[in-house]
Amino acid sequence: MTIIISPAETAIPLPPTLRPLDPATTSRQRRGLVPDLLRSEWEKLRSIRTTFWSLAIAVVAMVGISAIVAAVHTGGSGRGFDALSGTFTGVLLAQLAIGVLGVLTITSEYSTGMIRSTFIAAPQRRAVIAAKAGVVGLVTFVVSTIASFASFFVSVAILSSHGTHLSLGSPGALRSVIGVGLFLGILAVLAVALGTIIRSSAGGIAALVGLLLVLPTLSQAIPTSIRGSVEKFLPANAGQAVFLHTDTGSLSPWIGLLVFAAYAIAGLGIALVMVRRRDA
Amino acid sequence: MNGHTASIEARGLTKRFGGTLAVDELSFEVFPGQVTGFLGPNGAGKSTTLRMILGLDRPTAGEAQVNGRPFSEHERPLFEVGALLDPKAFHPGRSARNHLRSLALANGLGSERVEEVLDIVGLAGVGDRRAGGFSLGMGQRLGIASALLGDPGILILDEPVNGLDPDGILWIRNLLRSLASEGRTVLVSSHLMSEMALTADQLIIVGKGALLADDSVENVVHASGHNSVRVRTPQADELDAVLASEGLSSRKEGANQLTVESGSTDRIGDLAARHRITVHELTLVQASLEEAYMELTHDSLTYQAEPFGSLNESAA
Repeated sequence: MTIIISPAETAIPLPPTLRPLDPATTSRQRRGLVPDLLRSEWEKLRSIRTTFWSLAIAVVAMVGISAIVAAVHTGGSGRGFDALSGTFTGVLLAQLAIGVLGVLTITSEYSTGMIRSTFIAAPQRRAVIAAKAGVVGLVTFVVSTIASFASFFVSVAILSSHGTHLSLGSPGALRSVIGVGLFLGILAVLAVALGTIIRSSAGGIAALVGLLLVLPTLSQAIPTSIRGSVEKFLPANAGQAVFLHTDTGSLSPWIGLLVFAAYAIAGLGIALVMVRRRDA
Repeated sequence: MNGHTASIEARGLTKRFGGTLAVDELSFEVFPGQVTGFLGPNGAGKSTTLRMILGLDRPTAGEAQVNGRPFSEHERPLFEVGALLDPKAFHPGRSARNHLRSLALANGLGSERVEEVLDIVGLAGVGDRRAGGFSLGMGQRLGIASALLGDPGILILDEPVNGLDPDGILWIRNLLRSLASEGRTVLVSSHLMSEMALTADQLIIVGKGALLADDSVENVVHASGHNSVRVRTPQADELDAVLASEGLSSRKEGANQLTVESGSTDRIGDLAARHRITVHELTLVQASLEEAYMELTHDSLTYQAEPFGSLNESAA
């Protein structure tokens, strides 16, 4: 077969010669690897819609459910109703949105092939994953803390109009409000770790749901004699102790959060080892 | 820039996936200032080799170096190597501009450079469109834009013309030539010999993961030894007999045409004159690069079709 170069084809302009990099631009590379990777991951996070929608769902769930719970319980006014715990019921839904966001930030890179572009631009894989976990965790912490305060004050307003008094000065209130932000921020880090280990969106989300919802239920199979001492160390139960006040023996709030953070750190550690070993 | 040091060096590069040997002790060097074609049939291990060079896959044995160091030891790799591995290596929900920005930032590059490379590849007008809506050709251009971000001295491109229309193919061909003429190292893989014949100076040919040839384009053609002479004569049978008596093997192609497998046009012309045989045409038929390639890779096709009888009549 002969290839005939038609006049139309020859009219295609030659690609312009590459302009060499402006020294002013290149000299900026002195900033250091970690700040550069953090900026890169922030750029990735802010430039896709999933981020916006997941965070929006989390905020709406927290504030909306808080308002509904407060409104529903004002009739009974007080006795038997833990106003503080009720305020954070929405977190149980928000945690799924945050977890999905965390998993997807990394599994979407694997499923789309973006991960190869990422690792060609930055072969320091462990630093990349750590930067991603850091950025996702920090952004989640900031947004969730704001949402947590918002849901608290919405709850306070609705409850007070019906005579139930709750304020940041109430026992455990400030700790719970800040604890929600910390819990969700740490959860986001754990989710990034799970996503890195599993690499598939469906698998990662399944693992996350299993960790948060299924595992606590499965623990019913444990003999009653030791169930209590096992249950309180499960990731979800431990982490939620900082804002949910259950009558069953849960860990004390801050110890619970520390145990939860230990899970996240362990998960991230496994993720960092695996991301270095495996082919991308 | 020194023209004699290899920019890319593979030494005994080997990759095994389970029981399959994908790349088998591959060693080669790639030099600056020319386009090096990395050729082989589908499944020959080209992509795996490129992925090992770029630190994405870990070699089972051997190693690859880029500018004297393994790729992953470069702290700011975009300044050393630009790579296009597949045309869809981006998040479809992210705009082209933001995609490039995220990669540029990882190497400390700013938005000015992103605008420059968008310009170079002709995507400036669609930079804010979600990349998921791009055609294959636009995806290739976006991949090339990301490869050019750091103004690198080395470019590695895996099948960059796959699925492109003629305009796009011509554009890439010109780009590769111009990058090489600027003294850069250009390593480009393809399974299409015809494409490499137009673009490459040097060829590295692999089959079933092993090196088959590493030479200039001319030498690969020459070494195939499949040059022949075509003679058109009304006395084909007489000439055939003369040639046979001189120990030259020929075969008849139709009523008045012969193909002589060896011998020069000079010798055949002289023989014909001496025996008063009229010759209407005497042509040296050089093996095409395509034929040289087919010959080299014939035994190493991973996915080989049964020969299609009637189309195969000219097979020697």
